[in-house]
Amino acid sequence: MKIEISEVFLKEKDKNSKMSIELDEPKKVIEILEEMGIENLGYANFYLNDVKVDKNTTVKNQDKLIVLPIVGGG
Amino acid sequence: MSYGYSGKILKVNLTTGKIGSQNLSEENMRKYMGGKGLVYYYLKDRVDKNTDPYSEKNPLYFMTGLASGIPTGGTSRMVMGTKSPITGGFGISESGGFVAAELKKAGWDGIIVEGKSEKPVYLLIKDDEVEIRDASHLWGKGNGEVNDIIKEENKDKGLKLSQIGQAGENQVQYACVMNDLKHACGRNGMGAVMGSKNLKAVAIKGTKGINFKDKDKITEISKWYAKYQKDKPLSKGLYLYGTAAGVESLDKSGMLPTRNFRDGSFEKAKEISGQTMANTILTQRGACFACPVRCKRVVEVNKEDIKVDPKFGGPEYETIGAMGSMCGIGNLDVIAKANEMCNDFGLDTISTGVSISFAMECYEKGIIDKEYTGGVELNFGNEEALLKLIKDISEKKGLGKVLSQGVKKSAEIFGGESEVFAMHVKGQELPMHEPRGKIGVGLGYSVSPTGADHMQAAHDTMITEEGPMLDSVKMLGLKKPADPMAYGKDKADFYALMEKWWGFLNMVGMCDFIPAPRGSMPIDKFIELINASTGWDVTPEECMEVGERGITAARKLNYDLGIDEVYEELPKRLYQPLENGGLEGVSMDKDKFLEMKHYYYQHFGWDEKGYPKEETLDKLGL
Repeated sequence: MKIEISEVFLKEKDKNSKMSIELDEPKKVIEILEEMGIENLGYANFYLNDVKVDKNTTVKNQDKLIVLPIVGGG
Repeated sequence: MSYGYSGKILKVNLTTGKIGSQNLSEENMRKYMGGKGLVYYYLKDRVDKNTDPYSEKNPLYFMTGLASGIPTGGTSRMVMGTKSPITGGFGISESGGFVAAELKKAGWDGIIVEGKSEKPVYLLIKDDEVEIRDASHLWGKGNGEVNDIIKEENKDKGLKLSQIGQAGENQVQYACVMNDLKHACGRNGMGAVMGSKNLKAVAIKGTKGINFKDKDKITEISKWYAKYQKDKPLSKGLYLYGTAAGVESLDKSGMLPTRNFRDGSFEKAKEISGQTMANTILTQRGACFACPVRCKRVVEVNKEDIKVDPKFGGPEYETIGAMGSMCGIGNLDVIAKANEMCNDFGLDTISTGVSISFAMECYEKGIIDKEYTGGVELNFGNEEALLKLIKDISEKKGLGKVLSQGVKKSAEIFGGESEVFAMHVKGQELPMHEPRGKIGVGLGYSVSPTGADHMQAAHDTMITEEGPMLDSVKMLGLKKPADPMAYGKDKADFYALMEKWWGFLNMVGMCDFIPAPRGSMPIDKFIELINASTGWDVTPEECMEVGERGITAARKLNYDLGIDEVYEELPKRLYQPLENGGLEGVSMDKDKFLEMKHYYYQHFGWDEKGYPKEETLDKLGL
């Protein structure tokens, strides 16, 4: 599956925001990201194949997940 | 002795040339905390239903707040106020930058400008020395040039300036006041009122400093916050991508206002995002007074066919939405140019962009033709037409003359079905937030005393689940997250609580992007800062009460000026479905919306028509 994570959630040393990973089995958005060590997910919006989803949505290998900062005026 | 504020307001009468000061008591400062609250306090006895906003009877205010000038970040806000020529009611507009802090360092908590000068003038304030100076040589010039001239003729590059461009001189209804070229008191027509007074600029130098009660505590919190905020997502997003950080998120959610709110998704959203800006035209991340977050953008374009001067900063999200997706324009260079022109002419980028977008839709629908547009093919996406119309609006020329009056009056002139998609409330154009995906924001647009305004309350897309965002505001009494698509009593209560908090921030002079929930500073830490500055014992409950007082006071004044619930109607388009994007087919439910609005009235102790009940006014000391 393809993942694109906003730089907002990346630490300086691992700034590569686009990556592909292989899932052995479908997993929840939150599980995938926590396994990758991504923090502060309470401030994120998740988009699966360009549709907004919540953190408990199941992701499969052919999916594309995008993690962007929460929005709220400005 | 007062701490954190001087207790002195500068008073200038442009008709008589008299310059004086008046005292501000501790009782009133504690009751209103500054900013929006002080505008109400001074304005309420000065205008009535019959006061022409452009007459010498309408005062113009520049107010700071208790937080303004504390060297911590977010403490930069200045609130301007007047009877708005756009809404005919209580008018305010906030800005960051450096002017508020400089004014406080000069020993003033605010400025009251009365009357009207016979000839163009500017005000020069150097601590206690205040002069009204001739500005005949500056009239007709843009903000960039005037900024240079005033600094040069006073031999002081450190002067901080609030000023109007040609749009303010010409009383374009939505002319703004620019602070140091990059920060706008954009809304409610402050620039038009300043222009009506023949006041070209206010130049300020402050050397006295601010008397804080506990300087060591302020230094401690400031140092702590500068370090603390660095890796916090809310601050980091603003630092990296500015206020346009959310363009892609909004687009994917179907909430990016596009082609005059007809669509919710823009095919070129990525090209105009904060991320793209950071990778292309961004040259610097700027800041307001003492702010470590640095959300301001500085951009430069130096191409053969288009040049953008970095001295005008760079486009905020609102500008990107209004000039970009709303006008169907996916070229960041052009949007940056539009931003530069608006900052130089002194035009509110939101109202300007929405007015042009409205005209584009009218043209595409055949409501106006080439005779109206001066031969221009005014389709969505016409970059040349956008830039031409910005100039024409500032000069009130051709179609620009019609659009300079905003979409409400333009629709009356154009006729046909244009009223359906004239996107305004109380005559003020909608900001770049889609109420069909954020019902709470729709409520805010409707009930805001100043017309459609997105900065009255935290948006309902921010706190949608249990977690750190909700935790950050629990001490304000918010216990449950909000479903952005929900109506009903819970949503009304959510909005009201968040409005009280942001209302307080607009009174105290604090940027909404620093304290929670929109910013990374915990609320208790921010209140600790206010107490270190003043020596007071302010609590979260008192903050909420002050915010509530400001909201009810503005409402009372508006009703007294004849701006009542009849003026709370949302644009008809919001009750029609979005035509594309993640919310395609979604519209607002009018019956549910009106029911929610009445729950909102009840929350504040207002009657069924939205007027504050007697006991509510008594409780709040109004």
